[in-house]
Amino acid sequence: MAGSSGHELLENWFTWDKAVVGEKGPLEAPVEVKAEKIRQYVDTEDDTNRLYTDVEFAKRHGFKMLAVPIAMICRVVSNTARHGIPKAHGLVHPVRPTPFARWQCKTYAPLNVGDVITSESGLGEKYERRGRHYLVWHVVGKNQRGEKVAEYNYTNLWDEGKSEDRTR
Amino acid sequence: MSHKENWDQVEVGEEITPLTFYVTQDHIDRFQEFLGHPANSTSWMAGHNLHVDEEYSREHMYGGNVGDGHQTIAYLCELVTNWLPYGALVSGYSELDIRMTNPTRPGDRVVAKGVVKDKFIEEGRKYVLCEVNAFKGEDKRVAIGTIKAMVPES
Repeated sequence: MAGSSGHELLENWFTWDKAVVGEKGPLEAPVEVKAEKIRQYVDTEDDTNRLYTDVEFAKRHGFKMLAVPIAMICRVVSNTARHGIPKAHGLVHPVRPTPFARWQCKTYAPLNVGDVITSESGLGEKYERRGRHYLVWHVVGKNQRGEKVAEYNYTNLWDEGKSEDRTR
Repeated sequence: MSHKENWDQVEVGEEITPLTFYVTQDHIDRFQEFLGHPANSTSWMAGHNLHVDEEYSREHMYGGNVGDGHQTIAYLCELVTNWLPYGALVSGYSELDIRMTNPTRPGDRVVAKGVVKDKFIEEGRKYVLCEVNAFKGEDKRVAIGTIKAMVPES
């Protein structure tokens, strides 16, 4: 069965119809929040907010060390479900784009450099909208004290693209 | 860099100082490295990363490499954290809801904009609710959403 762009849809692909809401992804090793990752973010994005670059300044504003940019959240609160669930079924993530469509994130206890984050993820929802199909991954991260630091819904478009996407 | 010294200075209806970003392939590549998906990756995305694998991207839905939605979200967060008092949004107890409506591409000039929709106190914490948008070119929207930023006491 071909997608709308003519690419072959392989039988071992994890397609939208095979996704089961509620299924959990595999657990992954905890991830440490590191200062060098913040420096990499600053260098990459030229976001020179002093809270990310000046430790003493950050401490004067109530942080234990450098503040952690929001962009770090998906880096340390890991979504293992997106490729882990297909793998658990002997399937593969589609080898075509599954664009990031929406991010709904809530933060709780502040993230700090040195925190070690353990995440749990699963398929939270699947839906169709305007003729396109979406999967929504639900991810929760807790720090080493068991405090929730972030929870997010991460929505991917799971269809083959349409011709109009090439000029968007 | 921070335009507001404290929560009291923020007014509902105020426009946030826009930020302009220039998307380049190098910029996209470095952000993918930051996310852990570099161009020479051995991860599950290797060879089919629509942000850095040009040949793959050209054959698929967008017809070429595109910027990562995380990067657009980073622009919108920088917009808010630059303008609100230091510590806003990055001190926890905040919320974001951002939809990516069109991709960014190398060569795009992206402008991030926002407006204060509300300010309030909730469960003893001070908040500013911002509506945020990012546009490329003349007026093509690449992202829209809301950021409810907790503003810590100064």
